[in-house]
Amino acid sequence: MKRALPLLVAIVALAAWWAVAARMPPVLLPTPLEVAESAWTQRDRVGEATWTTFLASLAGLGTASVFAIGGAALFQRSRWIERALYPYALLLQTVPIIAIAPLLVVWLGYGTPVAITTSAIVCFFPILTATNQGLRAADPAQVELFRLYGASRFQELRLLRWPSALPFLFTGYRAAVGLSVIGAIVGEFVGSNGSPASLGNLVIRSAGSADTPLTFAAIIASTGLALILFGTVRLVEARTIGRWQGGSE
Amino acid sequence: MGVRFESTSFHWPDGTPLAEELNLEVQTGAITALVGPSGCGKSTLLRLAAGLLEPTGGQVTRSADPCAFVFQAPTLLPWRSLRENVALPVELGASGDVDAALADVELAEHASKLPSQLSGGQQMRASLARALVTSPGLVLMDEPFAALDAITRRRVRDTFLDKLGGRTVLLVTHDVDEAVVLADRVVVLGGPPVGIRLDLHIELPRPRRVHDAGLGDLVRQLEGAL
Amino acid sequence: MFWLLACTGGEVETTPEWTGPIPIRLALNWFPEAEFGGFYEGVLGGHYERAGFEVEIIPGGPGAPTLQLLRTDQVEAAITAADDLLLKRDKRLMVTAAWPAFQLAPNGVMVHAGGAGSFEDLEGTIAIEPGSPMETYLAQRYGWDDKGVNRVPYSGSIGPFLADEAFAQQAFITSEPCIAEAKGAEVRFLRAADAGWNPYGSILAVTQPPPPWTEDFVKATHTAWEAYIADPSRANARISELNPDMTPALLECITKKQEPFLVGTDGLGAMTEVRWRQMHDTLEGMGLLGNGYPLEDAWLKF
Repeated sequence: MKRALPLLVAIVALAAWWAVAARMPPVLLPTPLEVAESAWTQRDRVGEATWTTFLASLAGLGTASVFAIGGAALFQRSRWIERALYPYALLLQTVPIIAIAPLLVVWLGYGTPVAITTSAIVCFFPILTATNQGLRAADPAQVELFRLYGASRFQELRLLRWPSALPFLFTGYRAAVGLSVIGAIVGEFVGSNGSPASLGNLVIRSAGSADTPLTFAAIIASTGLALILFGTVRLVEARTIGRWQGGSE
Repeated sequence: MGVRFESTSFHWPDGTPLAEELNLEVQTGAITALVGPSGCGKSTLLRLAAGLLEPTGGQVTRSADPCAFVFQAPTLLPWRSLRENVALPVELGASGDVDAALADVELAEHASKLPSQLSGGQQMRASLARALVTSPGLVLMDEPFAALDAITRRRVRDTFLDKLGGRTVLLVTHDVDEAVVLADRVVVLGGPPVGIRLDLHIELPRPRRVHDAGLGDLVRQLEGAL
Repeated sequence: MFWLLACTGGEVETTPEWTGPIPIRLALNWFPEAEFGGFYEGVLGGHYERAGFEVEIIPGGPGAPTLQLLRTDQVEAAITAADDLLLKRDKRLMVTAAWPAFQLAPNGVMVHAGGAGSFEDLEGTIAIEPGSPMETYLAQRYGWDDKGVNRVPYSGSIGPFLADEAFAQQAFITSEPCIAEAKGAEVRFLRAADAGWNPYGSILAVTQPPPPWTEDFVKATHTAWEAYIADPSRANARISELNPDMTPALLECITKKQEPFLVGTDGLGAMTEVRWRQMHDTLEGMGLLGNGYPLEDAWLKF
């Protein structure tokens, strides 16, 4: 019964949407059927766009992970480095993507590289802070244990700090995953010229030609993407750390 | 010589003194209990003995034997199986027999379980197995039974006495009854700065139960000194 | 191919030994639409090929940085508007206008048929890119601040326009009016040119000093656009293919509406000192130009 609750909510929401949309011109609020029709007739375009954005988000997430996890490990090594570089990491977080996107086009050309970059910029910071926090979260008694048996710094990092950090990492990734999709799409608003098709480009184009059902289809596709990625994180999380957090902490 | 504190002083980074010129010699091969009120510094003394902290004055000497530490909490790594946990000291460079250690604490058939799948008492025994895997000459224990319920505590204590015979043990506890039941020598500490209030040798035969004759007097004597 | 040409640096060399076609990458400043029809005709109708060029058209989108791409050698030719060209030159981007597709600026404001009859009558809410040169100009000229005209950002969608009879929004003759009509609205297009804002549109820009092949390229472009105006069907079919939102019916409407803007009064492809000076002075009066680069170099005379 509990499982059915989100489904019930979805059905109610869908019905409400339909009821409201039926009274309005499709250009303002299309009905679910109109959106589905639009997505079906243009399925090639929507499909290609979803795939492109999906790959860009993944690549952005991957790129951000490399820099963020590497950066956190570096910070763990030296407080000086952390103090020196942390403000710049924060700066990256505050950069308005939509403003730098045209610059990225000049440097990288149109297409996926821009989307990957904006996606990476947007999810970098959450992963960095999560990993940073996680690496520092090792149980002090366990740290003492390692020290007692003469573990090297690297052994401590590999065998203690990294596994201790995983719960924090997963929390960070749950947030980062949705951001990676948004980041890619925002980058695509400016950085994608339609070949290959991308969700950001689709949103802009359909808005410009007042094809609102298509806009909605693109939005739903992007939400679906984010949900799939989120679900994957949850699945991996359950498989890895879920088992060891069973009884006592 | 198990552990010797010679004119040992220790100050926290902010200057608070924990120990000033403390002298204490822990005999080899015997179980010594350190008893005292919370906050008097007995856990810190244990860490000085382990080499996890450096004294700010004087010295702490230890025999060259491998040394093991048993914490109040089992301190098992939750992502490792029991066997992998007990094997940790070996993995970090010491030599030891993991299977023998597991058998000693009667946990061999649970070897592939995760800590979350074990009871509190089992986790504590696993912690003990890990401490014993390197056949240490010196075992330092920081209130190891405090988190267990009374029944489990007695079971684990019996295992403990069984397996620790012959090693030098320094046991910190706030429970006077426990000290009297387990130890050959009880040192009552006060402070900070930590100082010796009373130093008793106990020669009663084991196993001991709290309500045995003679033990009651000892307990009263010790409690008086606290 | 992008990076390869960027690495060889600078302009395309045409040494005596080179007998093959000159590769030209042309960056559009919007999605493929009818306002670039002649360029597509140039490729499809063989005009460029016959003149010795191999042209690759690179579509753009919102905020397309075409002049920056030009200046960093990622493209050989870029599309821009006259005001943008002058503003970029003022920022030390040395580019120059080779040929304009639109004599009359395709910009303007779209209202419903029952709405304002002219710019003077405009009131209420207007969706227009805030801070853009055209917005600043119109606001100053018609005293929008005093009149309390409410400028809101233009989202790119005509949804709000269709829902509100009193709504006005910025528009390009090459786009919104036909789309709105297709959705059943009756619209009036107020031409920015009539308000005194008349930059040349869809200008073909090259680097300054211009590469040696520029004149030949301009000639081919001119011929291509003439062919497009005579018969837009081939290029429009291609545009529909590239941009499914531009249906053939829509393109037919747009091509018809945009023709008078292409030809204007001076004729297709003309550029006069008077028009450039006018644009330059307008921008200067708005305080947007400050570096005093010589206006004569802003456009090419053949």
